[in-house]
Amino acid sequence: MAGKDAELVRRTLGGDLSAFDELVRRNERRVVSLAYRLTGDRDLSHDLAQEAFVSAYRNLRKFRGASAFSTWLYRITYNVCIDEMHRRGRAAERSIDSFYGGDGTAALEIPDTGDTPEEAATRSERTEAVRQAVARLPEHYREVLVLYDIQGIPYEEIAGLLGCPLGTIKSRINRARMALLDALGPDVELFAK
Amino acid sequence: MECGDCTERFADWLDGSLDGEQTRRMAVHLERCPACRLRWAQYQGLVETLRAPITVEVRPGFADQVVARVSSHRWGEPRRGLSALVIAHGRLAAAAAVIVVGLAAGLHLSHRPSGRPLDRPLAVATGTAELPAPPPDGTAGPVEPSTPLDRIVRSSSSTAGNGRSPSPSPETVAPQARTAPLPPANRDTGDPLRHPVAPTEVAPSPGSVAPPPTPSPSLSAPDAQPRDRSDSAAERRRAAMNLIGGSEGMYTSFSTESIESARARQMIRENPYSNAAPEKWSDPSRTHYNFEFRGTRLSTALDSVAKTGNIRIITRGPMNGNVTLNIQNARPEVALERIASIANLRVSQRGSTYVVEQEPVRGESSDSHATRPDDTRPPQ
Repeated sequence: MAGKDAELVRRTLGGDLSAFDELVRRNERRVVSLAYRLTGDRDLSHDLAQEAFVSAYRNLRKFRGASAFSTWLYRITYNVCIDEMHRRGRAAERSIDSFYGGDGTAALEIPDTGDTPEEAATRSERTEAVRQAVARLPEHYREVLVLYDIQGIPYEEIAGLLGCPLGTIKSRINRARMALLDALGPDVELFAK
Repeated sequence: MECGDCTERFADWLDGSLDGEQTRRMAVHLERCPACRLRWAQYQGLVETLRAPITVEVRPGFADQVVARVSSHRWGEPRRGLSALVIAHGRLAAAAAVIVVGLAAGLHLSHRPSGRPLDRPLAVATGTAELPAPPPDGTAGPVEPSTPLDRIVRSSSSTAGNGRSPSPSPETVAPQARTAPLPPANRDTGDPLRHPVAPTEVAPSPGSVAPPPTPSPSLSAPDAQPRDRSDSAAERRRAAMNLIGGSEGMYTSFSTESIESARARQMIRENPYSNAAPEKWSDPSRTHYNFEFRGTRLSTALDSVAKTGNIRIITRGPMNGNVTLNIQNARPEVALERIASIANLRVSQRGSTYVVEQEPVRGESSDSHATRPDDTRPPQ
């Protein structure tokens, strides 16, 4: 997977726009989803995802391959989203429209886990509570949670990306999760199994 | 084991990376400590939620939009500079510029392919001046095949080669027009991981807004009047168009008294993070584009456009008749491309005006208000 992206990056730098088109298609869902996880706004998530891809393209020569392209891209996406949320000065408020497209079809794809309606509602509540609490975290906690837990990037890549020792990343993730539990406030009760 | 020691090991406990002794001690502590046991339950629930595979359905055409935005980017090319163009052309005024994109639809009461009747006929905006000339080597700008973009480019390209003095496309512009770098429009020379590009603060145009230039006659009106052959106006127009995207593949036309605003628009174009904060949108001194639409159908199309991209409609007139939209921080070509792709509209060119009109149904001819590409050729 990473090898394929690396080849597409190489071709893009050689002027092959179709390679970049494929890079976008290979990563668009995760980038848009990450943006949605951070903003809670479907429309905004597309806008910011587009900005992230454009920034990645313009700065593609700076990508040195120390991490996977997707990791680098997600990091850009993260920065774009956080900057936007800072500009707005508040956590984006979820509206019902952010879950549904204009024609009423679901804009979110939540895997069918066999949840009952009550369980699905709880899952949705948890997701929104987490999103808002993540927005309140200090930067150094938020970034590791987004990269590790939300994006599933391995410890080693995050350590390389952030320039920290592996042990530091592991302990930071744990502390970030604990800080997130505190940031949830009364919503933490949603999470006791 | 103390509670602090226990919670410090939650991540390792979750990952299963504790050794045998540590695992035993954790289990004993959790059994005896209700607070840590509750905290552990919450911790697991939190991580499960963080890792939940929720994805968002990506809108169709997302990748195409991204590629369209980056297609004009060239790594390592020096930017065109205001001072370089002044040197190169030597005739640029310094008054405020106004970019006006006049769009009109020549709708007629024929049926769209879907069978729905069209709106009432609309007046066609007349163009103002001569067409942008083709690049010196006669080649058209880059054309993306099989997209509305291609239709727009083809429509413009078909009007090229009319024997006017050449004007360089963005790809063929003379090197001397690119030697002076613009002030840093963004911080994308830094590490994108640490310093994402910041929005460019676009300075308002100095001085008062210059009165609109005397409109030159249209080439497309049935009774076409002689074209404005003012070298000064044409030079300024070509210079400004080169700044914001060149002639070929360029979707907007404008009349300008200076290139200050055009330079600002290039900065916006170059800077992907050009979305100003909402509180700045209502500032009339900010660079924005005026679109004039006539007819409700195009307004409906714009509703779709506004929802899909970085285009924000901040003011709007009545839905019937003329609809004036102030669109902030949107490149007109992006808006026009989306309009053409959404509503089966054809973008052609009359003079320096880009006309958006309904594509005629096969077998039916457009009325006199509609324009085919060959209508824009100068009268013999």
